[in-house]
Amino acid sequence: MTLLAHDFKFPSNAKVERDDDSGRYREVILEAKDVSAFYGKKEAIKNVSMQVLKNKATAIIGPSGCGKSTLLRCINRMNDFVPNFKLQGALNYRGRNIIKSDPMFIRTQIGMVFQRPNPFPKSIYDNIVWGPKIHGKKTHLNELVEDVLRKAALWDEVKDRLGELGTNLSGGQQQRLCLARTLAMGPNVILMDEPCSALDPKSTAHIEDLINVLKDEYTIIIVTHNMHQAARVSDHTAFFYEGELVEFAATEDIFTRPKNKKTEDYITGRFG
Amino acid sequence: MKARKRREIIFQLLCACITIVGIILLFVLLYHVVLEGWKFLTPHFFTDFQSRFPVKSGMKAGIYGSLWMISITAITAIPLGIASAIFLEEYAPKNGFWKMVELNISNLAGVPSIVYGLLGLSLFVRALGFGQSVLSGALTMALLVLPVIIVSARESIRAVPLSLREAAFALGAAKYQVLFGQILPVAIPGILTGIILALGRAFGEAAPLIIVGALSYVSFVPENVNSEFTVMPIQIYNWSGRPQEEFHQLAATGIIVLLLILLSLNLAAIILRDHYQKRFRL
Repeated sequence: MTLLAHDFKFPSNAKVERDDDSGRYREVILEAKDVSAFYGKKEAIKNVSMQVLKNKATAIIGPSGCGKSTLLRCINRMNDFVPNFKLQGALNYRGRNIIKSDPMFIRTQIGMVFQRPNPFPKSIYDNIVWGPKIHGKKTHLNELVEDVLRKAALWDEVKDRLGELGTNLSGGQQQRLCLARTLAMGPNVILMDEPCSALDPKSTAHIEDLINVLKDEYTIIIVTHNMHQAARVSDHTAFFYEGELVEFAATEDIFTRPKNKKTEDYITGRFG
Repeated sequence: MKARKRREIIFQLLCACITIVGIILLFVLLYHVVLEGWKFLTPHFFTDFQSRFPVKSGMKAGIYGSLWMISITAITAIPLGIASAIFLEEYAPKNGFWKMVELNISNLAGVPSIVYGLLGLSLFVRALGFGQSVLSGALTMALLVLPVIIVSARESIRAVPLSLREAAFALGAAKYQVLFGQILPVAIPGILTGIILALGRAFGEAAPLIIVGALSYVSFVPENVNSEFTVMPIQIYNWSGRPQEEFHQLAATGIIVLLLILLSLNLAAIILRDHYQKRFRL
């Protein structure tokens, strides 16, 4: 095990954990402590505690209604809009409690790509600059657009038609545009809520490749129905069942030697 | 199988017949009006005031009065309507009180226009002392169309997909930024359609203005908001009540002009809607 100098460049209040694969120390960028979530009286997440390491891709899998999307939407406070939604416990982003923070700030730090591509009905260019603009960024917008479109592997396809409507792109291109739009905010974490479920296999592969590249710069949490996808893109996998975190481990371990019977049944396709 | 096919055909034919009957009736009416009114449709009709002599009669007072009224109505009703719709849809807490308010606004859209006339008479003409002016008439009309504008604006705002709001909020936008940056641009065509249809209704109304005190014989155009006035529907009503045949023809001419203005308003609504809808496909 070798420790590299840059591994120690953490904020002073950061919590640090050893990463099992590489032996490096990594910052715990997100931490859930006894998080429970309720829709009215229905408990959607039950006492979940887990840690997400920086620059890792974490997959959340589980059958429909297991609470995986709910958890994801708690992280960037998207559930604030759901009436009667209640959240308990502590959900920390770099040592600050998300539940007590300003949601607008949290969302600039933690971006989100949604299940269905939802570009704004504006030009490709405006889709990307709208976010930075409302936060007061006025200069170097052209460079920003090119930079994030390159990161989202969309630049070559759209560089000659940035003025066209984002909604006129194909589904896969739209989803990459949404990813570029999220990147333009300069987030640290990107949440992906089944980002490929509305896409064809080729576009799906495209997004998956991107996730593997973007990990170097961002922390990614991806909710997916597709277990193979989780196996392909993630470093850690959390298996949820009926609101409970059943098992959370390195992806390889989850898929080759699950400790829990439920996990094994799910990944071998016995239910789901 | 055969029986069902036959029934399908019979049903289709029935629907087509009923539709055609309605259209034919409308065309007969239009044909009748045009036939009766076309000969007075001259430049004089737009530049002359009313007169005892049909050939010297024109609708200048009514056209100007209607335009004055509709402008003031638009200036007051549109901002009020859109602001109310935004508040009710986006900011009002979803509790019993606001639900009652919403229900009552929908009900107000169905209240007979004469009732608004009585309200305008006691509120604007008497209590606020605006007199029998174009201002009183226009504000009464604004009250009349306000519920229609609010309801249609709310529906357009509500029709903006949730996914679009989420996308905007997920970028850390404040609510007003989401509203002005994403929701209103998408909702605007629907809001505009509602506004133009509502104003079209106000344009054709006579009853509440008669109560408020619009005059039937006017030989001047309004100079300011306190002027007395008349509007096109009142002039048409007035002419059609005269015994002489020529005045009935004048009324028909007035109807043609009124219909043309309404038609162009509706056409504008359709063009605007299509223009914006082309931009927004999901």
